Amino acid sequence: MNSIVFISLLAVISPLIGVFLIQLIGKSALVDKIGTTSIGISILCNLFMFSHVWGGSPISLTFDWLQLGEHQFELTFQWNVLSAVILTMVSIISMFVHIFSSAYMQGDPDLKRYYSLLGLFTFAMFGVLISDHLIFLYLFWELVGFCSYMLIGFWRKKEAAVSAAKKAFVINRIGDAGFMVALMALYLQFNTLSLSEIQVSFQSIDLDSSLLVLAGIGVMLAAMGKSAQIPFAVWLPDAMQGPTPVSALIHAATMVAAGIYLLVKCYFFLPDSVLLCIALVGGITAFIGAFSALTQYDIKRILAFSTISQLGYMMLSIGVSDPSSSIYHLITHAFFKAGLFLGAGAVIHSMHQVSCDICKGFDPQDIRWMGNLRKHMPKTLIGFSLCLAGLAGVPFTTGFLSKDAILTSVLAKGLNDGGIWIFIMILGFLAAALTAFYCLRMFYHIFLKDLGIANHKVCQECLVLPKEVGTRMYLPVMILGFCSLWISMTLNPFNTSGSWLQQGIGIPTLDHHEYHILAIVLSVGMLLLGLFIGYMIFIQNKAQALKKSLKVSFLYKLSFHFFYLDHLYKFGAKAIITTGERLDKIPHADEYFVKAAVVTSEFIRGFDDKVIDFFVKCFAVGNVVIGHVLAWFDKEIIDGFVKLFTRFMKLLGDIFRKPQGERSQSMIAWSMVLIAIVIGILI
Amino acid sequence: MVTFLHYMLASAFLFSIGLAIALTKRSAIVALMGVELMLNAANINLVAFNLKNPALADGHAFAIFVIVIAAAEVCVALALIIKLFQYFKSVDLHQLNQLKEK
Repeated sequence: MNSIVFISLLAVISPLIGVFLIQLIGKSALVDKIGTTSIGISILCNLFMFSHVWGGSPISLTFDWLQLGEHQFELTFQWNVLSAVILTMVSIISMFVHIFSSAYMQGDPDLKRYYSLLGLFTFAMFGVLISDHLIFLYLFWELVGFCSYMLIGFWRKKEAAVSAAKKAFVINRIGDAGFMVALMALYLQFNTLSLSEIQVSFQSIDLDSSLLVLAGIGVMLAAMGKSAQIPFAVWLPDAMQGPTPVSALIHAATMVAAGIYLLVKCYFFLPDSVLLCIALVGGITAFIGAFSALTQYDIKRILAFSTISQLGYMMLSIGVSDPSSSIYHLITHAFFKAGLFLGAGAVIHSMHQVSCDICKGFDPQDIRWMGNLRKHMPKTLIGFSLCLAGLAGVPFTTGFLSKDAILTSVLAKGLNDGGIWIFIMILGFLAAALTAFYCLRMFYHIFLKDLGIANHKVCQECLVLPKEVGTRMYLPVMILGFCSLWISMTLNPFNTSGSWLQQGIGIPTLDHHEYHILAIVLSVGMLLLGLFIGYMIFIQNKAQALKKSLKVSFLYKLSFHFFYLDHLYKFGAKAIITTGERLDKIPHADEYFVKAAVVTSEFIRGFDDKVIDFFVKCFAVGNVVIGHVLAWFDKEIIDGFVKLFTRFMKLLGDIFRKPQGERSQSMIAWSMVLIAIVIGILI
Repeated sequence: MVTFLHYMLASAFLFSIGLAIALTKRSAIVALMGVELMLNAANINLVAFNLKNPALADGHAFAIFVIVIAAAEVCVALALIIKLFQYFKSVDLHQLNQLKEK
């Protein structure tokens, strides 16, 4: 193993070693430092690996894994350009989350568990990124799901957290079942599960298109579960019950990125029909996510819905055959979304200090209680607003660049192919306007309007003004904010397809330069539309009547309840339960079953008692009889021969011994006589 | 004149006495004495046979060997008899019949 492979492997294993160290040492003062150090090592190694892989050849490492009959399974880890860039991103985000957590989670009694899970989570994501063999990828995929389950339910005593964790876990299972089906279909088709081998044989052999569609749909389901697409998106808003830094990790780097990554990796074999499904799901998700974010009051729920919407964009981008823009958006989104969540964590942290015992119904996460934080938390404001601009897609941010890259492809596809693609295209552009609107709404509520809690009559007496958070909390937010500026990706702030990232990944993209200008104009137009409506409603305070009538309308409720998806699931579950109960109520239906079962079992018992036991007894008796015969034979016949022989020998001895007089001297005398006789005869 | 035949007769006589003592006496010590007599009869024989070839004197050498070995043998035999006495409180050969089949 040469040194570069060793370093790449160290980058992956380092968080796991950190977990072991945390569990071994276990002093709660040290755990955050151990966790952060192990991720730090990971970053350094990953950067080194990145510089090696970027523009160079991919690194791979192969083991013999196991052999089932004639099927040989080889285990391959691969660091190519795609996984290298995401590995580096994940380790950097994870580092910021670790640093932020060391301040945010201070004083929590379960810090050891928290940091172990963070490390394990990061490790599992690394594993997903480097696995070339699909079964191994599946294992790490499940490990990611398990870690998210543990972290969402980190505060075990909170009932909402526990049920949110269960929800995330169960809904992910549906997608994972799809993954399983896809694995089987791929194995049937290609006789191997190594992605690189599949890619080689994809061009050469005859393919069964129905199997490929099955595999494509399976992979799509898996990605929909992990990456929270409609209709499996319901777990993501509830996942807010976990600690806020964990949300940052889930939303930006580890959990939801896995689904998109899987799709991009499997992109080469996805047939057109599956791509259309993906685009449709992505477009609808982007729109519904953004639409639901409009009316939420919980700061973390807004961000969750915005994540769903942005993930929809990434799916959409894969659907319109532009996976490199999808990865581009994944990376830029990771940075500004991590910054937003960490910023939200900082805001919640300082709002916690505002609360007092008298204030009934105070919720530190509710944006109606916040306000005017631009004065109280200026440093957080800088980072948070930069990230928010990225989310809204304001020009001069990375978010603008990557979102426009996607929208350009969508526009090109819509205008070229027509039909349903136009519908998808409209959804994509509408979502952009909605995003701008809710970003402004959030910014207004948190930073611009008067402090909400100060308007409350009871709370005015015990009011403590919110304070700026510590360095370890605002610094990650600020750094992530500056990473969201266009400079980090390309020099020209309006060149949406010329970033170093897109050029380096090298997945073939559509040629859509003629739509470039149109896409930028349209998306900026959408952004301005959203911002303008937001500006009129919130800052100018116009259209009050419209606002009031909207608040009671059906659309508002639809948005607030996330299109009643949760209710739909609940209704389905309840329908199944009531059907069961109804069946239960039919009289005496069960007694026949019981009787039949009793009679059958009686019959079987009788058969067992009479027939089978009889044979067993006969066999036993026969054995005993044979044993006795053998014993008699042994004792009487074989021992008899031996005894007969001894008797004979004794008789012989007696014949010569008895006449000698049984005394030593007489025996000597007789032997003398015998010798004399022998000598006499000889002479 | 003492001839070779006289030596033979004396030796045979002595051997017969020794054998009779060894076979008939009940005391183990006396039986041992009989054995010694037989040894000495053999010595007389050896010395007498030396007359046939006096230049070699090998009969004398053998006689001296036998005397030395007899001395050693008496040591062992007496030690055995002492042990027998300690164990059985008797040196009567008729009572030493532990190995006899009952």
